[in-house]
Amino acid sequence: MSKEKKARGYLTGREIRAIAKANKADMKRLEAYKNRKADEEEFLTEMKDPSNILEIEDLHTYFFTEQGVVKAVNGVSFNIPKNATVGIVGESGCGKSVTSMSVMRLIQGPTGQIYSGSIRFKAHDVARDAKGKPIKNEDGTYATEDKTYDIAKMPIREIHRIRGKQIAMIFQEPMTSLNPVFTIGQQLDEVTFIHTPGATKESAKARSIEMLNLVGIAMPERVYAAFPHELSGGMRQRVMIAMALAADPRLIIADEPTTALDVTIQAQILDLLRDLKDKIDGSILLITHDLGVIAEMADYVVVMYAGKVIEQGTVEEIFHNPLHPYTIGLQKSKPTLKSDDEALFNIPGNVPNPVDMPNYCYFKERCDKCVKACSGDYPCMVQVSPTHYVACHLYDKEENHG
Amino acid sequence: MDELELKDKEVVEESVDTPLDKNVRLMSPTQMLLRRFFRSKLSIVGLVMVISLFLFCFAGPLLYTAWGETELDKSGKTEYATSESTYTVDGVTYTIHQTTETHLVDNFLSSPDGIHPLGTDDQGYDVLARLMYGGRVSLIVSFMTVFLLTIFGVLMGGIAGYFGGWIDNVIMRICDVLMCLPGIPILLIISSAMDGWVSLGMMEENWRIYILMLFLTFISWPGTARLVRGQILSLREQEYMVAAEAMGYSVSRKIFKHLVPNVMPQLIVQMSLSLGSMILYEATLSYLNMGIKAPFTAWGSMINIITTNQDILQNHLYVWVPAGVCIVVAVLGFNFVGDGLRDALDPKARR
Amino acid sequence: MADEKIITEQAADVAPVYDDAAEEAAFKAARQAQMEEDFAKPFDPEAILEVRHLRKCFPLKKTLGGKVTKELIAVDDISFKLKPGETLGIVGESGCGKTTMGRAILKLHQPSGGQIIFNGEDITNYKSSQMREIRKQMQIIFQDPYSSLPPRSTVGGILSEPVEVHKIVPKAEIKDYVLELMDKCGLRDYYYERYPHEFSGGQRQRICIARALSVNPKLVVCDEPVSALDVSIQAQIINLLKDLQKQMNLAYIFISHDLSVVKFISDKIGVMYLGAMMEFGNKKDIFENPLHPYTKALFSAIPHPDPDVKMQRIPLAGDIPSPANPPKGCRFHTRCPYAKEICKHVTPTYKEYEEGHFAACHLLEEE
Repeated sequence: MSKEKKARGYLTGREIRAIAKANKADMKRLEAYKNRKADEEEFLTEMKDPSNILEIEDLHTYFFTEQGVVKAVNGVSFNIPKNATVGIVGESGCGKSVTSMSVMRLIQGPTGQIYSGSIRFKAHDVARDAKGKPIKNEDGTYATEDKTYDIAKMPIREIHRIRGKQIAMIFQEPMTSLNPVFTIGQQLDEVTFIHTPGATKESAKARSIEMLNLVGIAMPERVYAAFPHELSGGMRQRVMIAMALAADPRLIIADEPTTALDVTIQAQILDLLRDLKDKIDGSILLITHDLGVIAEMADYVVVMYAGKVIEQGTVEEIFHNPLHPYTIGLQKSKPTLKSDDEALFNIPGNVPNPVDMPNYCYFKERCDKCVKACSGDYPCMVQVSPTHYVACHLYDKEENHG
Repeated sequence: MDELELKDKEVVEESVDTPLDKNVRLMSPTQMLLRRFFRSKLSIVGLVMVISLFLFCFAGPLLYTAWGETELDKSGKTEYATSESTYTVDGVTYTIHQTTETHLVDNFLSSPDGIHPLGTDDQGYDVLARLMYGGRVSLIVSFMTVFLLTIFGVLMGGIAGYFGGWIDNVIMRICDVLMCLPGIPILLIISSAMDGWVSLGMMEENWRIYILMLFLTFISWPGTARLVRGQILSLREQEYMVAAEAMGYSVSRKIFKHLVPNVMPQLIVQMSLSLGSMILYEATLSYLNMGIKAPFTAWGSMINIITTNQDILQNHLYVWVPAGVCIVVAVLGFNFVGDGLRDALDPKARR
Repeated sequence: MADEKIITEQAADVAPVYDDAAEEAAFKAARQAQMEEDFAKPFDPEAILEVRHLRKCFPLKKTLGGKVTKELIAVDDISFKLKPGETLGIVGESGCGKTTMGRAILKLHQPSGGQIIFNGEDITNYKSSQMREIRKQMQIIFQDPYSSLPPRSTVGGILSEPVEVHKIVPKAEIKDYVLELMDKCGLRDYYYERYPHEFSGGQRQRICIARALSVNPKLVVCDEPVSALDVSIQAQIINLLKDLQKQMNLAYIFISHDLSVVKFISDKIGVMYLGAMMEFGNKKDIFENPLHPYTKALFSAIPHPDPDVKMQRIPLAGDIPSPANPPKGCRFHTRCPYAKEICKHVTPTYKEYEEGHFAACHLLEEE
């Protein structure tokens, strides 16, 4: 019976129980760590490079499922410089959304947990005295200072210091991201109330109208009083962007902001985001599967595959000089209006299921340029230029020779 | 970089599965179901409760053969009654203490002992044996009711959901009307009508509970029908149903091969939950003296004894408490199993 | 003050006055005449599918007596011909009626007007029992590979059911036939006993394709078959579809919102907006010489995967109007950067401007 199951690729009962047992221990430990009480010193840290706003280093985010541990993010490192747009591109299941959710600490426990690694974020937060109480200025406002937090180590009860206020998020589904029973105005005002101490009804409304104006809504007063169902998808996405901007965040995470929209509306939203980038003093982390969007929007590109970063560099480097066979294949398989081939190039095979990954290069089976080293260890990140990194054995050699 | 350019491969002959693909080992659907069911401690407890009740009722009498269902303990019993009478003769008061010794044929209300592990009831029947046989009646009646109820509900709900339009309207309005009817009062009325039929010899006394439960089926199918209709309405919009339509399948194939199997999970959950409530209904009806009559019995009827005799309620707990415990265990067990099944079969519904 | 007066007067002189009701009546009469003329024409023997003035309305409001007082015109007056082995690409944004059109052609929605001629038969008013035989010749592939497969059947069950129902091969040969089909669609034989939920989106879409092809259809409506898939998988599926078309001489109606994908697979392309065909023509004509401003705007809206290519965008203001309440006159005038007064009042006629290249736009009529 169990032999037959094995042959058909199913787990045996014993294996399932072993997985459950191992998961339980890990989940319990990580959940306790997440819910602990901790002093600020525990999660204060220093940026490696002061010109960055966010530094992710060796981040591991795992999902403890019944079928095994899914290493959704498996050792991801990259930086977001100040006032830059960083795009993460990859296919479904590559871990790009989980990375952004880890930054926001929105991973759903107890199955999903940040396993290890650090996410350093330069926050502009309320100054606190030795006891952890906020320091008040003489005029009643709170004193603020720049601090660097390690988001991965923050207990979940402290996360309100950055979530929404310092880092805001724009979601993919504008249809479901707004609460249908409140007006747009109520939802926008709420953001101001939560993040600006001492805001009055009038000041909150003024701020909301200003935000709606900023995102190019022609009749902000009317939209302010409207309910979400009265707006079209494009308008809702604009409102979502306004909500994200309302608290003056330092970092905006846009998770597939245009995927659910029509092409002509997508063009409008992309134009808006690009304009906003110049107007606001913040960075954008753009997550998308669409290379066209990345090429238009991003300054730096991070290409992810099966939970790992396989290539990163400036947008010119990635699009004009892609090195990793996956990046090359991805660009070639996208049909464009300009191309005129008979058949499309495609990468064979499927995006691998990230349970039980082998220890050699995850792309090996789909790659047509394998060398001997590919059967060996997972390739390390190789620096090709000051900003361009790639994880592929093809480039190991070059380094060795050079 | 030229040598790095990939050659356009012949695209048709791509390999679809890779060794990476084969590394992935999943759980089979049955494993997934069992795992989800047994993850919750409560559903294990529920399953143990239900199984042990079934063993108790159906296998129990085979092992415990000392007493039958309608077997009276004729070992006899001696009762003593004392009385006192005073009368005055010539200013002197005499008190006469009198003890009456009665020899009875039946050994009733005997306390638990070696012969009767749970004692006997007020007629002299063995409580443990009656508990087993009564349980059979209770379980069979409620299973039968749930079974009928589900068949009727699926049929009506399925018709309403699949065909829609005025058929749907008519069936749903009937449901609305039936849901307005108060169950217990109507059952009381029917029961008193049946009193007349029994006295006229038109029906057996013990049919009463079956007829009442049949009527219960009739007024409780709307719940199931609504569930099935709702499910079918949402499933009908699924693209695989449009695909079935595009394939040119017949209506009966679409309903019975494509829709009904997908409603089964919810139905099984609903069935196990309503089993609990049907056992309660049976108990209630029996308690109200509308159930099985002596010499046969059911759990509800065993509790009914307390209505006739205050003394039993206070001093002979062993007669009626076991039946109450059985009812509680049955209802809790079915509900726990139902909840567990809901988690296992319908993962979207939980949390 | 004086100047201002003169200007307004001039404007009043120049602006032609349109009587909306009269224009609409005239347009309807002209269309009716055209329809009658077209319906009388004999069927084209070369075409596998001929659609004439197809129309599909959904009732929005009904009186108590069941009389429809308001309706949503999802598909309005669409005509085209399709030959075996050809692919017609339909492009449009959400709400343009492209999906409804696909389903109306398969009679999954009963059309409200027009003619559908499939394989030389007018199937417009066929009953569902008559349709059952035709069904195996026309199939559909859906967008969402997750909801279009029944969750409780194995892959083998899903694929053998239609073969069994339509008696494509004798019972004993069904399994071999299905395995051969699976191989053709790039599915391994050990998938036969597995359940759909164990597969990734691309593999599921292959199963859907195999199911559609199991009955040897002549026409397949592909309703956004690759929109839900990853880029690298999209390419696989498109290539598979193209390859199968060559092998089996299939005619495709390929519905998509993505112009670049449609370009790849289509011979002819139709651009839809709010239920009506805006432009229709051979792929070459549409891409090299787009006539309609909407087509041009669609082209310019697609982000190009090259940071150096900065597309000259034709800005389309505002949102897509609700199809329940389409604008009067030309449907596109609310968003058209070149809209004139006439566009707001008169519905443009759908005309042939070059050979086989149709469009509906007032700007073209003037030229």
